[in-house]
Amino acid sequence: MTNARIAIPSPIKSGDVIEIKTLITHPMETGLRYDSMGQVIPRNIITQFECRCGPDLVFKALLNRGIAANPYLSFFFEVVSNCTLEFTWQGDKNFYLREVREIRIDR
Amino acid sequence: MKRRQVLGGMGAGVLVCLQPLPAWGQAWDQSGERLKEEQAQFEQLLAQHFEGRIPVEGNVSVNLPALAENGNSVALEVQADLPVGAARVVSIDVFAPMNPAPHIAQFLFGAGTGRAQVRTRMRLAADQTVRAVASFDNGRLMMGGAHIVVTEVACLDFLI
Repeated sequence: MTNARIAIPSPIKSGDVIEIKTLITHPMETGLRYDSMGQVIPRNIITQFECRCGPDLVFKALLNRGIAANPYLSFFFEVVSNCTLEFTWQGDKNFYLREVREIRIDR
Repeated sequence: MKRRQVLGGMGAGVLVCLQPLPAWGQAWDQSGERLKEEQAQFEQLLAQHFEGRIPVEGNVSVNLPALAENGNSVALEVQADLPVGAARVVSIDVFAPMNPAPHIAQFLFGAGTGRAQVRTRMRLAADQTVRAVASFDNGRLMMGGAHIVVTEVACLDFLI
């Protein structure tokens, strides 16, 4: 089962630059390995990760075979107002996963 | 007689010591060849991804452990600082020239990213210098790199 974990620090003040950490379970099969029958194991990787705040792009990663299994990505985001962050992962074999997190500024 | 024996022994010892030197020399030459190959690979990658524009060294840091015991998962951190005249970092490309798939990833930053810094985990197929090239909104390209030694490489099947 695929499952994604997203860590967002709290509390958050306006103007903070926060580190967002994401981790998703995925084999990231390179397509360069052979099985016991000598057949190439087909490539099965996550090719794209995106984080958006509404319509605005925060961070996007185009991934290749050289990213380790269970891709971990940490990036930064400058919080200026309350917003909804949308995280999407896309990959081979029509892989698609979407997660949503609310960002609330604490007083 | 005793003195002669001792001197003779020393001479033999020196000869024995000298013996492996040519082998060492060969190993050094090989590493030189490897470096040349790596450099050629990297230049080819630059040609593919940046139309042959050569990035300037600086403002980009790549953090890797100096030695990785397992090439299947190596913690990588890349960070780009703004050079004079640039307002933001548009993207960072990570290359491992000696990997079978050398373009590791491209990271793109929106205007709302407070800091162009990314952490992830990568695979490594050989000892090499991992490079990161940052593109800025004023069109500048800058790069940085870090050398890493890998004791147990990933992609072993590829080599068979």
